[in-house]
Amino acid sequence: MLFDGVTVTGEIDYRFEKQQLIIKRDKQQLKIANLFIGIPVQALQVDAQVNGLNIIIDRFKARLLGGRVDFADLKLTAPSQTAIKLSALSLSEVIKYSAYPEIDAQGIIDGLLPLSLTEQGPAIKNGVISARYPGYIKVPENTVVKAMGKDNPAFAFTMQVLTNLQFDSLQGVLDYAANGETSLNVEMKGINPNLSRARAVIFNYSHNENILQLLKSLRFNERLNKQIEERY
Amino acid sequence: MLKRISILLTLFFTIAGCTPRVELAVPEEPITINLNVKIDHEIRVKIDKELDELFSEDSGLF
Repeated sequence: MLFDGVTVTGEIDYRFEKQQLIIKRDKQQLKIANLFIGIPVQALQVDAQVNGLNIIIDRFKARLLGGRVDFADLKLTAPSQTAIKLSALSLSEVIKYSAYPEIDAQGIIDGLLPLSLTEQGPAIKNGVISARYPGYIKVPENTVVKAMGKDNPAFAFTMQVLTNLQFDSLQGVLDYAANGETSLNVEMKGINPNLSRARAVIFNYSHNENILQLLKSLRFNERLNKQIEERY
Repeated sequence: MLKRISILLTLFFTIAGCTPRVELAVPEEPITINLNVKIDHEIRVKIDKELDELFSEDSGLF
Protein backbone atom coordinates (compact mmCIF):
# COMPACT_ATOMS: atom_id res chain seq x y z
CA MET A 1 0.00 0.00 0.00
CA LEU A 2 1.46 3.37 -1.00
CA PHE A 3 0.87 6.58 0.87
CA ASP A 4 2.32 10.00 1.49
CA GLY A 5 1.58 13.12 3.49
CA VAL A 6 0.74 11.42 6.78
CA THR A 7 0.01 13.64 9.78
CA VAL A 8 -0.99 12.27 13.16
CA THR A 9 -2.01 14.63 15.91
CA GLY A 10 -3.22 13.56 19.30
CA GLU A 11 -4.53 15.34 22.33
CA ILE A 12 -5.23 13.56 25.55
CA ASP A 13 -6.01 15.24 28.84
CA TYR A 14 -6.46 12.96 31.83
CA ARG A 15 -6.18 12.92 35.59
CA PHE A 16 -6.23 10.37 38.36
CA GLU A 17 -8.95 10.79 40.90
CA LYS A 18 -9.56 8.30 43.70
CA GLN A 19 -7.36 5.73 41.89
CA GLN A 20 -9.41 6.10 38.73
CA LEU A 21 -8.26 7.40 35.38
CA ILE A 22 -10.55 10.15 34.20
CA ILE A 23 -10.15 11.25 30.61
CA LYS A 24 -11.23 14.83 30.13
CA ARG A 25 -10.24 15.15 26.54
CA ASP A 26 -9.31 12.51 23.95
CA LYS A 27 -8.96 13.69 20.39
CA GLN A 28 -6.82 11.94 17.78
CA GLN A 29 -6.51 12.88 14.17
CA LEU A 30 -4.98 11.05 11.25
CA LYS A 31 -4.53 12.75 7.90
CA ILE A 32 -3.19 11.09 4.76
CA ALA A 33 -2.78 13.22 1.65
CA ASN A 34 -2.51 10.31 -0.79
CA LEU A 35 -3.23 6.67 -0.17
CA PHE A 36 -3.27 3.94 -2.79
CA ILE A 37 -5.31 0.90 -1.82
CA GLY A 38 -5.76 -0.21 -5.42
CA ILE A 39 -7.72 2.93 -6.17
CA PRO A 40 -6.43 6.37 -5.16
CA VAL A 41 -7.80 7.88 -1.96
CA GLN A 42 -6.98 11.53 -1.28
CA ALA A 43 -7.30 13.98 1.60
CA LEU A 44 -8.19 11.25 4.04
CA GLN A 45 -9.01 12.50 7.51
CA VAL A 46 -9.99 10.42 10.51
CA ASP A 47 -11.00 12.02 13.79
CA ALA A 48 -11.10 9.46 16.54
CA GLN A 49 -11.14 8.85 20.28
CA VAL A 50 -8.78 6.21 21.60
CA ASN A 51 -10.40 5.20 24.83
CA GLY A 52 -8.27 2.26 25.88
CA LEU A 53 -8.86 -0.31 23.18
CA ASN A 54 -12.29 1.03 22.33
CA ILE A 55 -11.48 3.22 19.37
CA ILE A 56 -14.35 5.34 18.15
CA ILE A 57 -14.16 7.09 14.79
CA ASP A 58 -15.98 10.37 15.27
CA ARG A 59 -15.63 11.36 11.67
CA PHE A 60 -14.08 9.88 8.53
CA LYS A 61 -13.81 11.76 5.27
CA ALA A 62 -11.86 11.29 2.07
CA ARG A 63 -11.87 12.06 -1.62
CA LEU A 64 -12.53 9.00 -3.72
CA LEU A 65 -13.14 8.43 -7.45
CA GLY A 66 -13.83 12.08 -8.17
CA GLY A 67 -16.24 12.47 -5.23
CA ARG A 68 -16.35 12.15 -1.46
CA VAL A 69 -16.84 9.41 1.09
CA ASP A 70 -17.93 10.26 4.64
CA PHE A 71 -19.11 8.49 7.76
CA ALA A 72 -19.37 9.30 11.43
CA ASP A 73 -19.65 7.64 14.84
CA LEU A 74 -18.21 4.19 14.23
CA LYS A 75 -17.01 2.09 17.15
CA LEU A 76 -14.17 -0.15 15.96
CA THR A 77 -15.10 -2.96 18.32
CA ALA A 78 -17.87 -5.21 16.98
CA PRO A 79 -20.79 -5.04 16.96
CA SER A 80 -21.30 -1.52 15.69
CA GLN A 81 -22.77 0.29 12.73
CA THR A 82 -22.79 3.48 10.73
CA ALA A 83 -23.91 4.78 7.34
CA ILE A 84 -21.33 5.54 4.66
CA LYS A 85 -22.28 8.47 2.50
CA LEU A 86 -20.96 8.61 -1.05
CA SER A 87 -21.29 11.96 -2.79
CA ALA A 88 -20.70 12.84 -6.41
CA LEU A 89 -18.55 9.87 -7.39
CA SER A 90 -17.63 10.02 -11.04
CA LEU A 91 -19.04 7.07 -13.00
CA SER A 92 -16.14 7.28 -15.45
CA GLU A 93 -13.65 7.03 -12.53
CA VAL A 94 -15.54 4.01 -11.11
CA ILE A 95 -15.39 2.31 -14.52
CA LYS A 96 -11.70 3.18 -14.92
CA TYR A 97 -10.88 0.87 -11.99
CA SER A 98 -13.39 -1.83 -12.95
CA ALA A 99 -12.95 -4.85 -15.19
CA TYR A 100 -13.97 -2.72 -18.22
CA PRO A 101 -11.82 0.43 -18.23
CA GLU A 102 -12.40 0.91 -21.98
CA ILE A 103 -16.05 1.85 -21.43
CA ASP A 104 -16.73 5.56 -21.89
CA ALA A 105 -19.16 6.87 -19.27
CA GLN A 106 -20.49 10.02 -17.73
CA GLY A 107 -22.52 10.25 -14.56
CA ILE A 108 -22.48 11.53 -10.99
CA ILE A 109 -23.19 8.86 -8.40
CA ASP A 110 -24.47 9.31 -4.83
CA GLY A 111 -24.98 6.55 -2.32
CA LEU A 112 -25.86 5.57 1.20
CA LEU A 113 -24.33 2.33 2.46
CA PRO A 114 -25.36 0.97 5.88
CA LEU A 115 -22.19 -0.52 7.34
CA SER A 116 -22.25 -3.13 10.11
CA LEU A 117 -19.10 -4.14 11.86
CA THR A 118 -19.34 -7.76 12.99
CA GLU A 119 -16.78 -10.16 14.50
CA GLN A 120 -16.01 -11.29 10.92
CA GLY A 121 -15.39 -7.74 9.68
CA PRO A 122 -17.32 -4.96 7.93
CA ALA A 123 -20.43 -5.75 5.89
CA ILE A 124 -22.95 -3.70 3.91
CA LYS A 125 -26.53 -4.76 3.39
CA ASN A 126 -28.95 -2.99 1.06
CA GLY A 127 -26.73 -0.03 0.25
CA VAL A 128 -28.36 2.24 -2.31
CA ILE A 129 -26.70 4.17 -5.12
CA SER A 130 -28.23 6.47 -7.71
CA ALA A 131 -27.21 8.89 -10.44
CA ARG A 132 -27.74 12.53 -9.57
CA TYR A 133 -28.27 13.58 -13.19
CA PRO A 134 -28.81 11.83 -16.54
CA GLY A 135 -25.63 10.43 -18.06
CA TYR A 136 -24.41 7.82 -20.51
CA ILE A 137 -22.40 4.67 -21.02
CA LYS A 138 -20.77 3.81 -24.33
CA VAL A 139 -19.38 0.33 -24.74
CA PRO A 140 -16.92 0.28 -27.65
CA GLU A 141 -17.54 -2.30 -30.34
CA ASN A 142 -14.13 -3.88 -30.27
CA THR A 143 -13.05 -6.88 -32.27
CA VAL A 144 -13.68 -9.36 -29.42
CA VAL A 145 -17.27 -8.11 -28.97
CA LYS A 146 -17.85 -8.24 -32.73
CA ALA A 147 -16.47 -11.78 -32.94
CA MET A 148 -18.66 -12.92 -30.03
CA GLY A 149 -21.74 -11.37 -31.63
CA LYS A 150 -21.16 -13.04 -34.98
CA ASP A 151 -22.78 -16.32 -33.95
CA ASN A 152 -25.07 -14.83 -31.31
CA PRO A 153 -27.53 -12.23 -32.66
CA ALA A 154 -29.03 -11.56 -29.20
CA PHE A 155 -25.59 -10.70 -27.81
CA ALA A 156 -24.79 -8.58 -30.88
CA PHE A 157 -28.05 -6.61 -30.40
CA THR A 158 -27.37 -6.15 -26.67
CA MET A 159 -23.93 -4.77 -27.40
CA GLN A 160 -25.34 -2.51 -30.11
CA VAL A 161 -27.82 -1.04 -27.58
CA LEU A 162 -24.97 -0.46 -25.14
CA THR A 163 -22.82 1.40 -27.67
CA ASN A 164 -24.66 4.57 -26.65
CA LEU A 165 -27.01 4.22 -23.69
CA GLN A 166 -28.16 7.66 -22.60
CA PHE A 167 -29.77 7.08 -19.21
CA ASP A 168 -32.29 9.30 -17.42
CA SER A 169 -32.10 7.28 -14.25
CA LEU A 170 -29.58 4.90 -12.70
CA GLN A 171 -30.39 3.17 -9.44
CA GLY A 172 -28.66 0.31 -7.71
CA VAL A 173 -28.43 -1.85 -4.61
CA LEU A 174 -25.08 -2.85 -3.19
CA ASP A 175 -24.25 -5.66 -0.75
CA TYR A 176 -20.81 -6.36 0.65
CA ALA A 177 -19.79 -9.33 2.80
CA ALA A 178 -16.86 -9.35 5.24
CA ASN A 179 -14.85 -11.64 2.93
CA GLY A 180 -15.01 -9.02 0.15
CA GLU A 181 -17.76 -10.63 -1.94
CA THR A 182 -19.74 -7.76 -3.42
CA SER A 183 -22.94 -7.79 -5.40
CA LEU A 184 -24.25 -4.79 -7.27
CA ASN A 185 -27.62 -4.70 -9.03
CA VAL A 186 -28.11 -1.64 -11.18
CA GLU A 187 -31.07 -0.56 -13.27
CA MET A 188 -30.55 2.10 -15.95
CA LYS A 189 -33.47 3.58 -17.86
CA GLY A 190 -32.93 5.61 -20.99
CA ILE A 191 -32.64 5.42 -24.74
CA ASN A 192 -30.11 4.68 -27.44
CA PRO A 193 -30.61 7.65 -29.82
CA ASN A 194 -28.69 5.81 -32.56
CA LEU A 195 -31.39 3.11 -32.57
CA SER A 196 -34.56 5.01 -31.65
CA ARG A 197 -35.46 8.17 -29.78
CA ALA A 198 -38.93 6.84 -28.91
CA ARG A 199 -38.08 3.36 -27.71
CA ALA A 200 -37.07 3.12 -24.06
CA VAL A 201 -34.16 0.96 -22.97
CA ILE A 202 -34.10 -0.73 -19.57
CA PHE A 203 -30.69 -2.10 -18.72
CA ASN A 204 -30.51 -4.40 -15.68
CA TYR A 205 -26.92 -5.07 -14.76
CA SER A 206 -25.89 -7.45 -12.02
CA HIS A 207 -22.27 -7.64 -10.98
CA ASN A 208 -20.64 -10.06 -8.54
CA GLU A 209 -17.02 -9.67 -7.66
CA ASN A 210 -14.71 -9.95 -4.69
CA ILE A 211 -13.67 -6.32 -4.11
CA LEU A 212 -10.78 -7.26 -1.79
CA GLN A 213 -9.31 -9.44 -4.54
CA LEU A 214 -9.93 -6.69 -7.13
CA LEU A 215 -8.03 -4.15 -4.99
CA LYS A 216 -5.24 -6.68 -4.44
CA SER A 217 -5.00 -7.22 -8.18
CA LEU A 218 -5.00 -3.44 -8.87
CA ARG A 219 -2.24 -2.95 -6.27
CA PHE A 220 -0.25 -5.74 -7.90
CA ASN A 221 -0.58 -4.07 -11.32
CA GLU A 222 0.60 -0.74 -9.89
CA ARG A 223 3.55 -2.38 -8.11
CA LEU A 224 4.54 -4.31 -11.22
CA ASN A 225 4.39 -1.18 -13.41
CA LYS A 226 6.51 0.74 -10.89
CA GLN A 227 9.08 -2.07 -10.67
CA ILE A 228 9.40 -2.24 -14.46
CA GLU A 229 9.67 1.56 -14.75
CA GLU A 230 12.31 1.75 -12.01
CA ARG A 231 14.39 -1.12 -13.34
CA TYR A 232 14.31 -0.45 -17.06
CA MET B 1 -72.37 30.75 -45.32
CA LEU B 2 -72.63 27.29 -46.88
CA LYS B 3 -69.01 27.58 -47.98
CA ARG B 4 -67.97 28.40 -44.41
CA ILE B 5 -69.85 25.39 -43.04
CA SER B 6 -68.28 23.14 -45.65
CA ILE B 7 -64.79 24.41 -44.68
CA LEU B 8 -65.57 23.76 -41.01
CA LEU B 9 -66.87 20.28 -41.84
CA THR B 10 -63.79 19.56 -43.91
CA LEU B 11 -61.65 20.69 -40.98
CA PHE B 12 -63.69 18.52 -38.60
CA PHE B 13 -63.30 15.46 -40.80
CA THR B 14 -59.64 16.21 -41.25
CA ILE B 15 -59.15 16.27 -37.49
CA ALA B 16 -61.28 13.15 -37.05
CA GLY B 17 -59.28 11.51 -39.80
CA CYS B 18 -56.05 12.30 -38.00
CA THR B 19 -57.06 10.65 -34.73
CA PRO B 20 -55.98 7.06 -35.60
CA ARG B 21 -52.57 8.38 -36.69
CA VAL B 22 -51.97 9.73 -33.19
CA GLU B 23 -52.71 6.29 -31.77
CA LEU B 24 -50.24 4.74 -34.19
CA ALA B 25 -47.49 6.92 -32.75
CA VAL B 26 -47.62 5.15 -29.34
CA PRO B 27 -44.02 4.21 -28.44
CA GLU B 28 -42.96 0.62 -28.84
CA GLU B 29 -42.30 -1.73 -25.95
CA PRO B 30 -39.03 -0.92 -24.17
CA ILE B 31 -35.91 -2.88 -24.96
CA THR B 32 -34.99 -4.75 -21.78
CA ILE B 33 -31.48 -6.04 -21.34
CA ASN B 34 -30.51 -8.24 -18.42
CA LEU B 35 -26.79 -8.76 -18.02
CA ASN B 36 -25.29 -10.81 -15.19
CA VAL B 37 -21.55 -10.67 -14.68
CA LYS B 38 -19.50 -12.63 -12.19
CA ILE B 39 -15.82 -11.87 -12.05
CA ASP B 40 -13.52 -14.42 -10.49
CA HIS B 41 -10.06 -13.18 -9.64
CA GLU B 42 -8.64 -16.59 -8.83
CA ILE B 43 -7.19 -17.17 -12.31
CA ARG B 44 -5.90 -13.62 -12.51
CA VAL B 45 -4.06 -13.96 -9.20
CA LYS B 46 -2.43 -17.17 -10.43
CA ILE B 47 -1.25 -15.36 -13.57
CA ASP B 48 -0.01 -12.53 -11.38
CA LYS B 49 2.14 -14.99 -9.42
CA GLU B 50 3.62 -16.37 -12.62
CA LEU B 51 4.35 -12.83 -13.77
CA ASP B 52 5.97 -12.07 -10.42
CA GLU B 53 8.40 -14.95 -10.99
CA LEU B 54 8.92 -13.88 -14.59
CA PHE B 55 9.88 -10.37 -13.57
CA SER B 56 12.03 -11.42 -10.61
CA GLU B 57 15.71 -10.46 -10.60
CA ASP B 58 17.01 -13.95 -11.42
CA SER B 59 14.47 -14.82 -14.13
CA GLY B 60 16.95 -13.75 -16.81
CA LEU B 61 14.18 -12.11 -18.81
CA PHE B 62 15.90 -8.71 -19.02
